[in-house]
Amino acid sequence: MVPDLELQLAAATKALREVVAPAIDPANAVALEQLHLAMATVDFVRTRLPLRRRRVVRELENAQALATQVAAAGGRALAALAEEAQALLDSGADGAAMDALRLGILDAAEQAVAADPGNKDLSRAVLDVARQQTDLARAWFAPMGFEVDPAGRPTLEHLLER
Amino acid sequence: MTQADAARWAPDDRFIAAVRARFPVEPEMDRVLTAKLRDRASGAHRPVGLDELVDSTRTLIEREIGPDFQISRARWLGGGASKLQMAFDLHWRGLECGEPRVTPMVVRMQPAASIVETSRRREFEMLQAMRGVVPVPECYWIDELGEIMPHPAIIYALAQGVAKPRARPSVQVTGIGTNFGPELRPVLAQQFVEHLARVHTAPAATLAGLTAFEPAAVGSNAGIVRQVMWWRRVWEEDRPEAMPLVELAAQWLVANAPVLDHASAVHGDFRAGNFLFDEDSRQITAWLDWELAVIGDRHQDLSWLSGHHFGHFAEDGRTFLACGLLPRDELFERYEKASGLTVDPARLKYFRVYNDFASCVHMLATACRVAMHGKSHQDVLVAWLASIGHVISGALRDTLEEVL
Repeated sequence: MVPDLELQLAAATKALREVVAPAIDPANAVALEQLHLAMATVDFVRTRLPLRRRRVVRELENAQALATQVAAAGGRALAALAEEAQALLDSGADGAAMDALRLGILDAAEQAVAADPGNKDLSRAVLDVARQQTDLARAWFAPMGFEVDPAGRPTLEHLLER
Repeated sequence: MTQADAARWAPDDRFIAAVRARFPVEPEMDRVLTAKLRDRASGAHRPVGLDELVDSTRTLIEREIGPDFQISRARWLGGGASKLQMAFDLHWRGLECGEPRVTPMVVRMQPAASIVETSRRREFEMLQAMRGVVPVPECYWIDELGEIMPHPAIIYALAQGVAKPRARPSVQVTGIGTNFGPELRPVLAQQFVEHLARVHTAPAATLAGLTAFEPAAVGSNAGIVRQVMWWRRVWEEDRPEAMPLVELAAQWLVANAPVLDHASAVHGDFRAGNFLFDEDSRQITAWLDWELAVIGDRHQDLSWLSGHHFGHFAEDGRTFLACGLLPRDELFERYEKASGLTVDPARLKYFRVYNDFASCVHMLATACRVAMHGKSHQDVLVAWLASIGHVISGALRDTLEEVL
């Protein structure tokens, strides 16, 4: 469908850069900072929109791995959530359903950790899956510029394709 | 939306009572956090205009000194991610009613919701306590509860100086990764270390005058456990989604809390970006942003300022400079000489976990929550900053792997 979302966002950024920015009082540092951040945010979203579905799937896969490992470490209530996640992944469900289940798994896993302090197997499970999830999130947000050594980090393409 | 998510969106009495009971914190912070939750449920955010802020500032000053003054040149101040700041000139006769003068001032007011919800009373008290210890702006007035101002606020003198060299503009927001350059670096580094040592060795009598702070007892770990509870409570109140890593970190921090060996004033955000300096004299003119200050363990500041996200590599591409000023080991060595206090690697590691844990809470819980409710004057900045939480959670995960 035209105009597509990418074109609309590109047009919005162009308007902000070419028309709105020159109209702002250069002494208004707060307005200028926020305008530049708004433009950068729109540009960031443009690059990420086409990848959104793949991210949702990967995040649910990470959550499913967490549920499976936490269940094996004693948080048995998460076994059913792991099965539910597999069913959603197999059926190619819509992103909202996948994300809702992911949030449910994270909630249940956090409660399992809170209920069983000192359980080494639980700690191991949380740390193992946290590496996958933080790597993904860091790659997703890498364009924000907060990585000290971005070249040394796994790329988003690699993490989404593995 | 789960029941707990709904309660976070519009906290009711039951939710508020539950978090207060589960996570005991200092009385002043309990007051602030409880007010935050009650305000969240109160409805939409209303932006505060410059004229409205000038009017309420005028009312506050008149309450304090009477009507013999004028306000001019009111303008918004940029910089910082958490508080709303307005600069203005005050035409008056000073607190002693002397000769007419013009004093540049700042109103520092919290927005309806902030990336860190803190106490203006504590900030005001700590700023006053640090006068004569390190350069800080002179504090004049406070509206602790937002009875006159739109929200709680303090008014202090506008400190002169810059946070980063004008010739070397930072590409990042709020002082992160500031590069001072090889010529300015050693001059500022010397003052940076000396000031840190002075803050941490402030006399016990100075700390005893801080009424909005609970004392921290040497030989006990109750103070740091209370700090862990503070941020664990905020996580419970603000997080948009759960993260078992944060719960795991909180458990480890409580189980391994070290006993205090020396009670220090701890700035809580001592780093490049939070001091101003004069580019001509190359002197630090003011330390700002004391809102996260506590009485506690110096290693909290030492670990914080040596964090990866506040530094960068030197021109050789190999030497990492803490806060863009000094290699970590050299900084700690100089600090030990200046303060007479030791730097304990085990405590540094403990507070690395603590600081990353607290930062995860700020960025992945509160920053997101603030933007979700649209309750600050700079949601776009807050939402942008939130993403650094993933870099920090990666570091938290790696450190926990080492210690667990």
